[in-house]
This record gives sequence, structure tokens and C-alpha cells, in this order.
Amino acid sequence: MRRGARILIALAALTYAAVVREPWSVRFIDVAAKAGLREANVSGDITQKKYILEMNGSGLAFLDYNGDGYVDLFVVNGSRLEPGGEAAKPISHLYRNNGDGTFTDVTRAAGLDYSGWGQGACAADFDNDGHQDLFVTYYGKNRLYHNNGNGTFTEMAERAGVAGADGRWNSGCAFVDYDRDGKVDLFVANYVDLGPGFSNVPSPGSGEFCHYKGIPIACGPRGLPKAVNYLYHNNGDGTFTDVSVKAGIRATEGHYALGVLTFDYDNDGWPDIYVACDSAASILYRNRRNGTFEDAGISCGLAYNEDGEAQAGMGVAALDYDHDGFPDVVKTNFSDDSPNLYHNNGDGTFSDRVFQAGLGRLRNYLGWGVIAADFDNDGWTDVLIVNGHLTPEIDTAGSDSTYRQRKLLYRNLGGGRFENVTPAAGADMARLHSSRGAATADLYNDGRLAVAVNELHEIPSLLVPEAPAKNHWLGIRLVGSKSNRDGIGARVEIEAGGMRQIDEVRSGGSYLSQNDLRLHFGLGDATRVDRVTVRWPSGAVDQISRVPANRHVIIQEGTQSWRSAK
Amino acid sequence: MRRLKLLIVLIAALEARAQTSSQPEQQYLFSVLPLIDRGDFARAEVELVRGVEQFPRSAILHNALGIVYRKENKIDLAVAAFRKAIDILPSFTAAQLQLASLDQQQGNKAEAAKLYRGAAESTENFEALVAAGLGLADCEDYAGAVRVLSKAHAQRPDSSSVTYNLALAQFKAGDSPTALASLRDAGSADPDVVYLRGKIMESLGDGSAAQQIVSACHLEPANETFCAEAAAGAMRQDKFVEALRLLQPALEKSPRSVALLSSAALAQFRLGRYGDALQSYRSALEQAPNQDAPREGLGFLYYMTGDLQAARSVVEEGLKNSNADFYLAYLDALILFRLSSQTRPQAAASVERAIRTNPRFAPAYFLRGKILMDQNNAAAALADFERAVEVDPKYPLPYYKMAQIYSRQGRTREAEDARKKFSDLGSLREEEMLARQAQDILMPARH
Repeated sequence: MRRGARILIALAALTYAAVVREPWSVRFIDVAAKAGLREANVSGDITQKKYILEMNGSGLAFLDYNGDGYVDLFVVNGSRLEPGGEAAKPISHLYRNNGDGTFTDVTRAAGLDYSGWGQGACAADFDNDGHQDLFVTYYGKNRLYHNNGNGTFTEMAERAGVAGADGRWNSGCAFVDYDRDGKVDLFVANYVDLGPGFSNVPSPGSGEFCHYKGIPIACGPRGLPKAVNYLYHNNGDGTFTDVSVKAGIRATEGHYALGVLTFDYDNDGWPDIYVACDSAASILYRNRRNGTFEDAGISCGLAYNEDGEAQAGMGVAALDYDHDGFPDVVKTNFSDDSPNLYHNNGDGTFSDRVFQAGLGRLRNYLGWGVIAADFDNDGWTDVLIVNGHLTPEIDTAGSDSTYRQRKLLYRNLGGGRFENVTPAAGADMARLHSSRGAATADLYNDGRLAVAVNELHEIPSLLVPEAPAKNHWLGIRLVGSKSNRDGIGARVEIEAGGMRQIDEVRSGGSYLSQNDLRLHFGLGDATRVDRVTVRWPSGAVDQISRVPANRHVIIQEGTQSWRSAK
Repeated sequence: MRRLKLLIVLIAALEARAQTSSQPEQQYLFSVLPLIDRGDFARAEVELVRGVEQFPRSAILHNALGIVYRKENKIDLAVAAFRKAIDILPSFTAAQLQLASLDQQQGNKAEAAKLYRGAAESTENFEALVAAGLGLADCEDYAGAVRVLSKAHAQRPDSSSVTYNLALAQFKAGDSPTALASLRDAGSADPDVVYLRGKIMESLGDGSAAQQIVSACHLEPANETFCAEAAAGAMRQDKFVEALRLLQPALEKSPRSVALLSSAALAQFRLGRYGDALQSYRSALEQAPNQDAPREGLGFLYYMTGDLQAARSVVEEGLKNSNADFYLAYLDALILFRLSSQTRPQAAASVERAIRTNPRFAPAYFLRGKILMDQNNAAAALADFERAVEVDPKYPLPYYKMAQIYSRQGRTREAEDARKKFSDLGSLREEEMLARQAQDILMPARH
């Protein structure tokens, strides 16, 4: 290497070091109760869990159901084993964002007051009518809520052919236009086959997989029959066709599937599907571009940890943490293990760099939801993991791993390294809960990314940065024309301040949850984005120059232009 | 072997061999005994030297002189005196036992065992039989010990010490069912007996063996061996809180015991009390900085908790010793492999050292294969994965890596075969795999 180049690199490193050593500045406060999120999660017995169904909790989803430009929140709820009266039946809740820092529970008015053992949710405009629809997975039959465009929904899962069957444990879901025909299809993961009346499940403490560190707990998932995943093709007429077998989804062995991530891992323009599995090989459904998939989990290195040991995968998110233009993957796992940070090597393989990156130091946490987002808008995607153990009985095991756990916020330092900034992120971030699903959105359209978390047996957390971000940012909403209306599967690359960043519009993700469909880019000091490139699922490419920072913009397919969101 | 308080063999000599010695010899010996009793060995030596000059064919006086020499640590003279006594009276039990004991002390186990056997054949004296039986056991002639102790047991079946020692000799001789039968009436209040019963039952695959060892620990809570082993048993059943409870009293009595600290560290690690476990291993290493076991424990724990620099520092300090355990070198390679791509060459060197030291440890080949795979040397990596499963045919992980390589090379059928083998052998979850590896490798009993 020439001497001049060495000096330049050294200077760059010094500059960079000066930047990253600024203390973490984003402090979150939990505004849930004050904002009106008042309904507590129900998930079986509060103190003693008899079945694994009671332990996994539920997800949540951000969607703008009324199209007012403010993202609303749907919080999935579970149920109870012992049936109560009608009044005691728990329901999921849709909270309308009033745009003033408060939410209104509009569940009944919207027609969503259904009681069942809810698991996950994903949202997308499946019929391209301009209104975001909602799909909710259940232990039991799923619900597909068509958005009527007037603040109400109509349930149509049976009619659409996506309800599934009684007794199935549906878990994560995502809308994905896998065949790029302009209509989003639907992937639904399944967890465990509990059998009729839980007949497949032994009682707590009665089997090999019914103990935790010597104490009896609810059994599973190991030792219980595995379930299979479903892919529904959108027929474009309000119905779907189960193509699971034809598309190769069933060609894998059984899995205990939970979190679903759709992303184009090999940058070939076709969406792939990664499914985090519990105590079994996770699955990477590689899109073969002909309507079928093959499991590339083992060959790519995403099925197990680096050595081939199964992990208890729960939640999953994609991020390009090192700005190399290839999406990496972060996955949460069980306690006494570490999460995975799978680095995309750009050649179709991944390497787990969780330890090199500094994300593997804390082993007492059982991770569920995971969010990859640039919370401080410095241009580097951070990682938030929400945690909590299976059941309160864990607290009698004498471990340092407890039922209620804090969340862990890792700041991306650049250079492939992360730093745990939880202590600096506000007391509410470190408050103890047993967290499950988590998602993020810019609730107030001011560049502050808020986080909603479904807390077991509590009201949700709604963690909002207490002050506006110091750095600049840009929010992008895509509107497809030839592509699906939400632009799901579109790859967006921005260039700003000398940095290139990528992201994709995706439904589902995290743990049984979904983030705001709008993309959010932190820009650091840059006051504008020099160039935005959108590669649409249709194959069309839009390139837009000089987009000013600190606003939400809408980019419509084929217009090569942007406009401010309302 | 638990020792009986043996009477001075002099007494046995007097009792057993009185008919072979004259009254003046005996009177002479009695005149010297008070000096021996008082510990005045110098004067006793003078008197006995004079005695053997006066009675040169007196076996009992030569034997007594040998005992005095032994007390004075004049071992060569003692050996000569006992030999002289045996020359004079070849069946002289007391002298045989004394000489055997000296031989044993000097590492001549075969010679000692011969003398013990001879002594046992030449006597019916209970204490002498017990001494010979224990001596044979110490010389690892367990079958001989069983024969001799059986004779003693026949004389005094109510002697708990003999019963215990007989059962122990039977157990060591590989006859666990008979050993267990010998202890049938031995009661359950003696912690030694209860512990031995537990060990015998364990060898017979009896599921309640661990409970016996736990009972021994409860009967003698400060006993390091009983309680460390009871804790290990509890850990094997994933009862980590119980393990710590068993260790606590022993740790209070022996807070610097490396075995107890290491056991506690392992239990704390398995419980997920990582801070406590690190502290316990650090304390163990402070007590025994030259031992590999606590160093491996501490290094492994740092590795597991992601503090790779600390892990490297602890492990590499131990590797300065050229005779370090192979596992330390393997651990170093694991750490360096995980630390960064820059430290992979050093990882390769460490794994080579581990393989040189122990070529029968399959994970080392697996790790070397991974390093080679990382260097894009697929052929050599495959060879190492093959070697790993050759060493340990039930090791699933190499098949995973083989499947990856084949798949990336487009060798679909081979990839599928490897994947199937991997799947058939089963894969534990990572935290279990590592915990089990820790338990297997780091369990203090191993060391």
C-alpha cells in the first residue's frame, strides 16, 4: 500500500473514532398508558403455565389502517385455557393513532373484536385497493381482515382460503410477492402440532423436554410433533390458493417455525423467505424464480449456528449493518445462548459474527422480538432485542436468568461492531418485562422511531424517544403501480453524506410482528439524500436525486419523482 | 483404604512367636519397651544393638531394632534388621509386615505384595490379617486383599472397618455384586459406607446410586470428595441448585479447595449465574495456578460469555507450559478462531498442538476443518471432517460442514447424504451442546 493511502485511512479512522465516541443520545420513555394503550395481554395463566401455548405470547403490527398518514397499532392478544364468560373473552386491539401523541382503541368500531388465541399479525394491501389489510394468525383458524376503506374491516379468511384448520398453531406471517406478479401472496409459519385438546402434550415435568434447569415446566417444543408451513398464492380475485406443496415449502423436514423474514438475500431481485425455527434448523426458502423455493439454509449457513448446532430461533430481522450492499440477518435465541448476527458474505453464504460484533456477551436473556433500525439516525442501523423468559416459574430455578428481563439496545458503531447502550437509553428501556413481539414506527412523523412491545400479561410498552433526533433522516413510502401497491419487496438504496444504505419494504418480521411499511433512513449530518434508487418487484427502477432530509416522502412506481407525504 | 488403628506389631510378635524365643530374649525385650514407649529411640537403639549382640539369633530383638531404626528414619538399617529377623524366622509375620510396608513406601509394590501375602499365610492374628489385607489393597492386589480380608471378616464379622475394607477390595477387584452384598448389613449411618455403597451401585448402573452419594454428603457435609461427587451427580440430572446446596458446607470448611470451587463454578455456569461462576473459577485458579483444570474452566467460561480477550489471556498463560493439557490448546484455537479473521493462523497452530497432544479428540479435527474451510481449502477441510467422524462416529457436526461444502460445490447427492447423516445423528441445541461439553471436559472429577 502506498504511504499516502495509509495516511488517509488513518485520518479517516480518527475522524470516525471521534464520531462514534459521542455518548448515546436517544432516551426512550414508555408512553403506553398515557397514550391510551390500556389493554393488558392475556396468555393463559399468569403465574403457572401448563402448556407451551401459554408461554409464547403474541406479536403486534404497525399499519396505517385509515390512511391518515399516522401509523396505527394492532396488538395481538392471546386467550385463556379455562373459558370465562363472554365479558372475560380477551380480544386483540387496534389503536388508532390520533397524531397528537394519543391513541384510541377502535377495535370494536373497526370490527376486529374477535376472541381467540392470537399469535402474530402482518399487514398489506393484498387487493391493491389503496387500503392496508390485516392478517392475524391464531392457534386455530386465521383471520384475514379486508380493509373497507372507511375505518372498518371485513373478515374473509375462509372465503379467501387462508383460514387454515382448527387446531393448527399458526405463528409468524408475511405478505410477499414471491412471483412478482404485482399481488402480494401470503406466507404463514406453523409452530407445533399440539393435537386435539392438547393431546400431543405431556403434563409439565413429565418428559425429557419438560424441565428447565431442574424445575418442571410446560413441555416443548422438542418432543412434540412438528408443524408445517403454508404459502398462499394471491389469485387477484380476493382468494388465495395453497401452493405450499407445489412451491416446495413442504419439501423441508418438520420445523418449529416462528419468526418470518422476507428479504432478497442474494440480490437477484426475487424475494426469499427466512424462517426462524425453535430448537430445529431454521429455513431459508431460496426463491428459484419460477414459483418454487428450495431450502438453502444449510448451504448458506443460516440453518444453525456456525457449527451446526440448532438454536431456539424466535425473532428475525434484516439489516445491512456494514454497508456492503448485502442484507445481513439478526436472529434472537434462547437464554444461555447468544443471538446470531449472520453476515452476508455476498457469495450466497453467511457467517455468524455475533461475537466479533459484540452482540454475544449477554447470555441470560431469552430474546424474542428484534428490530433493526437507525434509532439515532446516524446512518448505521442499530439493533433492539426484547427479552423475557418462558414462565414465572423460571424465577425459582436459581438462575440469573429471570422471567422478566430488560430490553437490549445495541448501537451500531460502524466497522462491524456494536455497543450495548441500554443503560443510556432511559430507565423505561431497562424496565423489566417478559417481552414478546416488537415493532417500530415513526409515530409522529418527526423522525423519531418509536418501539411497541407486546408484554406478557401487561399492557404493551410504547417506547418513544423523548427528544427529536439530533441527526437528519428521511422516511420513504412506496406506492406500486405495476408492482404491488405497498411496494413490498422493493429494494431501496440511498446515497447521502458519502454513505450508501439499502433497505427493503417488507411485511412480517421480528417476532410475529410487523414494522411500519415506510422505510426510514438516518442521514447523520447530511441534509439531503443525493440519490434514491428504487428497484421495484416489477423490475422497474426509479432513480430520484436530491431529496431533502427530515420528511416523509412518497415515491410512486414509474414516476422518477417524489412528493411529500401528508 | 480406610486404616485400622493397628497395635504395634511388637505385641503381635510377642503373642504369636513367644514359643520361638527364649525367656531371656523376651525379658530383654520387655526391658527396652519402656524406652520405645517414651520415644527415647536413641537409648532403645543402643540397648537393642547390645541385645542382638547378646542374642544374635533372636528374631524378635532384630524386629524390635528394625522398628526403632524406622522410627529414627534409618531406613536402610531398618530394612536390614527386618531381613535379618525374617532370615532367622521366615514365617515371622510382624517382620514381614514391617518390611512389606517399607517396600511399599519405596515403591516396590510387587515385593511388598509378596511379603504381605506371606504374612497373611503365616498368621491367624486378626490385626495382622487386616494389616496384610490393607497392604495388599494398597499394592493394588485387590484379589489378594479380598482373600486376606475375608479371613479377617470371618473372625470378626461385626467389625465395620473390615466389612468396609473387604467391600472396597471386592469393588476394586471388579466384583461389584459381591461388594454390594458385603455391605448389606453395614448400616447407613457411616458416611464412608454409604459413599462406597453409592459408588458400587453406580458401577452396577443402579439409578439410586446418586442418592447414596448425596446421603454420604449429608452425613458428612464438609467432606470434599463426597460432596463434590454428589454435586456432580446432581448436575448430571440438571439439579444445579441442589448441587450448590451440597457444595456449600464443604466450601465453608475448605474455601480454597480447587475441586469444590470448580464444582461450584460448573453448577453456577449451568444455572446461568455467569458472574458467580467466573468468580469461582478465578478463585480456583488463584489456588492452583499451575493446574490446567481451573484454567480450562475459566477460559471456557470467558469464551462462552464472549469475553474473548480475557479467555485468550487466561488460556495462553497456561500454554506457556509445554506439558499443558491438550484441551487448553484446543480451547485457545476455539477462542482465536472466534476472535477475528486475523487470529486464524494462530488458531491453526493451537489446534495442531491439541491434535499432537491428543489425536483422539474429534472436536479438534472439526475445528481444524473449519479453519481450513475458512481458508477455502475445501479438500483439506473435508479430510478433517472425515477424520473427526472416524474418531467419533456419533459426532454429528462434521456432517453439517460436509453438507455445506458439497452443497456449495454442487455435489447434490453427497450433500444430501451428509445432511441425512447429520440429521440422523441429531443435533442438540447450542447451549446444551456447549453445556454438555463443559460438563464432560471440565467436570472436576476428570482431573
